[in-house]
Amino acid sequence: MAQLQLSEVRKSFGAVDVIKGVDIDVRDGEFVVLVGPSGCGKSTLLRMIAGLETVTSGSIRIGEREVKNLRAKERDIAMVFQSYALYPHMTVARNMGFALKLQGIPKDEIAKRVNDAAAILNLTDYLERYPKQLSGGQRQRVAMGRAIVRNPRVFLFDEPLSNLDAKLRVQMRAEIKQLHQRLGNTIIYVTHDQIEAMTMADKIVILSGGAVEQVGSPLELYDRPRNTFVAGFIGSPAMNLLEGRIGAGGMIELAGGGTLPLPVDVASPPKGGVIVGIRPEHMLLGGAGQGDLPLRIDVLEPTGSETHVMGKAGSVEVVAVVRDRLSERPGETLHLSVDPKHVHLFDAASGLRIAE
Amino acid sequence: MYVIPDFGRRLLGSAMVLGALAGAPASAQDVELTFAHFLANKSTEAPNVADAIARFREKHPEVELKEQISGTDEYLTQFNVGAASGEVPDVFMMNGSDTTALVAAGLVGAITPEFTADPDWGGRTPDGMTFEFSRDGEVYGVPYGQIITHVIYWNKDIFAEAGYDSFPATWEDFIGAIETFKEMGKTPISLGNKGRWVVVDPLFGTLVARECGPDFVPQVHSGEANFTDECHVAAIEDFKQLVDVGAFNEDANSLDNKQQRDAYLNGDAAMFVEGSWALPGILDSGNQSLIDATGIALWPSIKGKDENASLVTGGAGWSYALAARLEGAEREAAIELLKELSAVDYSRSRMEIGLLPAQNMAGVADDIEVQPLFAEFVSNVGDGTWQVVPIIPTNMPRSLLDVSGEALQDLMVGNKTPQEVAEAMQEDYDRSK
Amino acid sequence: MAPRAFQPSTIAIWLFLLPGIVVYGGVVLTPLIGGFYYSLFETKNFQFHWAGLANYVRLWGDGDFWFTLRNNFIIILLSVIFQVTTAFIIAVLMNSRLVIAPKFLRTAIFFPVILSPVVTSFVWILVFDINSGLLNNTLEAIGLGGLQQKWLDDPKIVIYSVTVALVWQYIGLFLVIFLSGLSAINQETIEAAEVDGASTFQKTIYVIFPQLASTWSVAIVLAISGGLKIFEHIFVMTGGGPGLSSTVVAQYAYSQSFLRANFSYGNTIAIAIVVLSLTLVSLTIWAFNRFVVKDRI
Ligand SMILES: Nc1ncnc2c1ncn2[C@@H]1O[C@H](COP(=O)(O)OP(=O)(O)O)[C@@H](O)[C@H]1O
Ligand SMILES: [Mg+2]
Repeated sequence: MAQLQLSEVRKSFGAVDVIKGVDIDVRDGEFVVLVGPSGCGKSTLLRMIAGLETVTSGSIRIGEREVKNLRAKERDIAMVFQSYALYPHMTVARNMGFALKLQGIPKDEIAKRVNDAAAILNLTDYLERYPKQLSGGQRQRVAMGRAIVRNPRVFLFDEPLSNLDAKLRVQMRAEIKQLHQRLGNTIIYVTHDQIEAMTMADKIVILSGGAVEQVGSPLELYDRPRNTFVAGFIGSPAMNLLEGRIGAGGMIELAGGGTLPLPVDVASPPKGGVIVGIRPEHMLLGGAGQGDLPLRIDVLEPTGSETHVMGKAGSVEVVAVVRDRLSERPGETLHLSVDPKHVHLFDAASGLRIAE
Repeated sequence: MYVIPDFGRRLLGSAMVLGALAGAPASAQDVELTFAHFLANKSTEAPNVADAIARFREKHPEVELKEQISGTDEYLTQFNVGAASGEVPDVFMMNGSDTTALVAAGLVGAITPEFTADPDWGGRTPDGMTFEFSRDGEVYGVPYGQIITHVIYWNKDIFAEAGYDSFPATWEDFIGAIETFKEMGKTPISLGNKGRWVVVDPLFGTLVARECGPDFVPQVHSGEANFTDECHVAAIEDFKQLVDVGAFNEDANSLDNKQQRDAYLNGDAAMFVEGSWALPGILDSGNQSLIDATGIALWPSIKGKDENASLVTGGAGWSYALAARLEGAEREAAIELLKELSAVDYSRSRMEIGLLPAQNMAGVADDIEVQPLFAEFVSNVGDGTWQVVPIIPTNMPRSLLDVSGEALQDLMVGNKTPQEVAEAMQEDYDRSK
Repeated sequence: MAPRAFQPSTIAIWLFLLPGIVVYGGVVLTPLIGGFYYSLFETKNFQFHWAGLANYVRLWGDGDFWFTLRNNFIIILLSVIFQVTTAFIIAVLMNSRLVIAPKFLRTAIFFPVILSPVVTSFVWILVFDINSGLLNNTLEAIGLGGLQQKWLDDPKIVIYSVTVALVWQYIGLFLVIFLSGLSAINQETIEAAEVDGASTFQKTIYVIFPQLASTWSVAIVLAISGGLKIFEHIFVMTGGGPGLSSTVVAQYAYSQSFLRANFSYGNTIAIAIVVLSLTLVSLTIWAFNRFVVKDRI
């Protein structure tokens, strides 16, 4: 079966450690998204899985097999590159059939599989075109077609949508997800875009500086970020992270002024400094929740369904998203509160979530 | 390229006219003269020429003499291009093979009146020495020196080892000696013929004289003889016999004439064949035992033609000449320069380094101390032991040297028969004469 | 149509083109036209006589000319096989992480390119020396004394010996050309082929070679024009000998012009080389466009 297992995988380029001991388990048929800021080592990790980059230490298993020392062609994986990497001198049909041709599969069998894939991807009319005669979205589909005709055990995608415009990206996101549901192959998908991660993944692996920050389902990551990095990375607009300390009376006194309630799940609050995390969409107006966070309004952005409020609590930037239509104007002060069940608490020194 | 400095000179000329119009002071030197030659740098003759030029400058401060110095090959290229566009330097070096062409093109000036009138100049130059540079009774060039283009330098010790106390007197004996040297593991005749002229001139030319007699060159000129004549083909066959018995080192055609001499100086070869100009290289080698062991000889008598056995090709090859366009003060200055380049002092300094002068030196060079080998040279040439007959290539159109050189190399590697070589030469002669 | 404001006047266009036309005309066209003009004359005694196409007629029947040209073709053919192809293979290996110290290797291979032909020719003279040369000595030492040759003196092999020196010297040039061609193609296509299951050989044939087709045509054009121009190396190593056996067409033109003082015929040969060069180069480019590149890249 095509589960994939990375244990203690490391990679150094000369003296530079790029991947610093990564463990990931991927179940058969799972759609796993590797997400993290640019330069954190996502591509390197993916290329190691593909066999395009050597593994400095650790183990990579596909199914039951250790593949660390196998060549790319022996791993039965397919990869979709960020640049699509279509062969410019081959037609769409030959691009898609190339891997099959190398396997020595008969011509009519190749044609059949290419036609099937082309039908799935809406490429039937373009089979005789060359890549330069296609639009960006079509090229993207050819790149995927090239992967799916092979029916590999594992699909690897490296930021496949980053060269497309916003609208096409949303469309392709859906198409890839549908494709996965239809084919059921194991997919490892790399992106720096947390929305792609949230919308597509069965499981997200958050990578930062070559190490895994947290692994979990999209909602797990959203609801219980393990540390401030994950908290700030997942969700849009990003979670507000405010410094404070636990005051008398079980409230959190914020460094920039104001108070917030302790979360419900924290029984014995720590003595030192904390960081409080509140998602913008969990901010409540006036006294609807607990605590009091006075916010001097800088900008108001009504989107129709909701209003984005950007302002300062003391000297700290805070964003709130509220359902109501506001009559306040920039320069005026808004009082916010929060439901304790939506308060995230992190240790100021380690950045780790404080929870019982 | 030669044309460029010349063009530049004209530009300079017009610039000077402009300068004069603008009231700039005229040059202190009234006459400007260019002298193009290749006798500088590594050339053995360099000091003689440099000294003569220094003497000229001292005597004639009114002349601004500009030297245009290049290597031999470069010189040929530049000179050819210039001549083809109707330009030659004021004073230049003229090869015997270009005399006809330069006279016909009206580029070289005759010096006959000055040359014959002066007993110290024409009077001291033997008639044979101007053969290559004279046409229809007019003299066009002053020989730069005398050269004998065929001399066998032989190692007496190696010959003695092979059982020869003297140089073989007959061709058959000579071939026998060659075979003995081969058995001894010595190269019989060291040859470096990459430049092709070594075979054409030092080796082959004198074989022609031996087979065809002393008048072959004038007979070719007059049309009485051809390169396809039996005697000329026989000479080619003689040379081929040397090749066939293995007289030469196997890499003969990829070495140059310096390397052929080095192999002899190292004692690896019993002989080498070059011209009189090779002597200073032996005398300066610092290898005294080898100098002492070295003898000079000519090809032995061939096929019983003993009457030809003292014939050897020689002459000057190159001369100093002046442009036909010169007149007045410029021509006078050029004549003075030619005289300086053939004066007693110039000839003496040639002798001092072991080179033959073109002028008769009796009475003016008796005090020069010369090495015994060179003394032998001087006396052989002086007393008629060696009878000098014209060099073939320098008395033929320029192309013949290259054509014969190529054809004789082809002969050596079996790509041409003697008859084909002769035909190639005749065909070229007919085209170019 | 472009907006009027951005359209320079005809005079301005010609003014800007003028320097290029003058330089090109002066440097390229004048000697060509002059060369052709002189080829219509006969040179004798440093003078020119009108001869019409007589020199071309002579050239057509001149066995020596065709022989020297044959030597050029041997050189071109061997250059394409051993120089261009080897350079391509080395470039591909250097691009594929299979080679250690690629930068050093590139410098080492490129180094001979910057040496003067005279210097490298002397080095090869030492290698080919029949008695003390590296080549014959090595053959002796490894027990292959029977393979020793008179490298520069045997008319049957001399042209191949001098070609070895040429190939050696300029392989680096082609290597650099191919490396720059390689750097211009999308490396991910090569990796994609690897993931698609291609062996190194298959990657090279199916993915790299077609994408380098225009680089190949440049390299072959350079090999052809270089092979027709070649002169100095052979002149230094053998003087074109023995006999005519290693003479190339440029040396033949040189010796006609300067050693045989027949400028007209020398010019005729030079014009023939130019025409031949242009023909071969155009044919190569046409063939590449027609059969290899098509309209796809
Ligand atoms: N071949 C390489 N040599 C040296 N450093 C590299 C190499 N490839 C990638 N890196 C470094 O490794 C880090 C991770 O790169 P990459 O995996 O491409 O990041 P990501 O895909 O997450 O943006 C970067 O700092 C990058 O500079
Ligand atoms: Mg990346």
